[in-house]
Amino acid sequence: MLLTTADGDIFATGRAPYSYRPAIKDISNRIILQVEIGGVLVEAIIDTGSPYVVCPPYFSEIIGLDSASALESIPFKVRGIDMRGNLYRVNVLFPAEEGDDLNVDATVFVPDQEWREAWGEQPAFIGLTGCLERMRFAVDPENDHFYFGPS
Amino acid sequence: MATHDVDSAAVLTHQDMCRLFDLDDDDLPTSNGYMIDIWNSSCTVADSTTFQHKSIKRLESDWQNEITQPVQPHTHVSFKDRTSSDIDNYAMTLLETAALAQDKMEFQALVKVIPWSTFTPSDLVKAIRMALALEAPLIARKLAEQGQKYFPTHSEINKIARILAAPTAKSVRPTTRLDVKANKLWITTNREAYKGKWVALHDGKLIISSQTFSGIAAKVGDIKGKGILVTQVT
Repeated sequence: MLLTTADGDIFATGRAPYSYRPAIKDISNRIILQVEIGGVLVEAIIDTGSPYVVCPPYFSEIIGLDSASALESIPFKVRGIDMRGNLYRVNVLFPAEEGDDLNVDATVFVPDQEWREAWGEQPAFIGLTGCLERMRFAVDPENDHFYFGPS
Repeated sequence: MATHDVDSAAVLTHQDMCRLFDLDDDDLPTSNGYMIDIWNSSCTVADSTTFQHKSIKRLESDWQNEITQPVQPHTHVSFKDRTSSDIDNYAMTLLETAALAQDKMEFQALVKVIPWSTFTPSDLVKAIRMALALEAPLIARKLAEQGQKYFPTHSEINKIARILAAPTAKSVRPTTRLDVKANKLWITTNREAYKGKWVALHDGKLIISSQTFSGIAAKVGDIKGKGILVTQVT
């Protein structure tokens, strides 16, 4: 069942399951959600501390991102490491198990290829600015459900 | 750089003033702050009782101003004779100083008071890049919006504004529902057996596993738009 406000208006239009487990080399549990970034289905950490959606360096090849459409050579610290990469506008889809999917036209940071080793095998991050900031979301920790909808 | 509750001016410390104007430490009296008001092209010395003529002469020389009178405490020093180019350069210097000092508050205060309509598109792009380097994307977005307002046909500004624009979210009825629940169940069930490995799953069924992401990509090929989840089991 999807969420409604006290007035009966729809709050969330979709719901998806999430995993609550550590990411790579991380002892803390994270909310890990399946999302399609640029058409590629991956697991991503919900990270409200991140200013963008942040993808692994190899993503630019898989999605086929064009550097001509990017804001290039932007410095950004990822997990304490100073990296440099490009900012793109990319479609991020939150697939729903119940209700509607949510399509977000988001700002995405992809580190340059030279940071591939430093990145390791961390998953992508779904950040607040540039993605979550303009959608409604709620978490049901009892059932590991992530609710979402357009704001 | 010290910041104070001002929304129309940048407040600099003694050290900042010395660095910006190339003054020696004893050229400037001790003060709680030196206010540089870019909007009004002026400098105000706050809380100073010992500001000497010699120091002002140094400022005067630095700015090629024509002040001849000794300055009293709280005296307002006008730089009205300066050209707009001088002011723009000075404002950009202050902005760079705040960015280098990683001082977001100061940077934001400066961005608010700088009259961007009188600046060049390249100044705005430079300021946007500084904001992004400070990891201040909302300030960068505001700057990009101003850029679009003042330079609506500038292609670089338009590209940046599009990338940094507030996200838009739309509900869409799925044509093919991805079985994310089945994928999650597979990962939960097989976590111990596949821990550390990369797997490609489709609707909860394992397609292939590998030690690396590249291994998956090499075997599966193009995964874009195919609903195949590629992830590392943790």
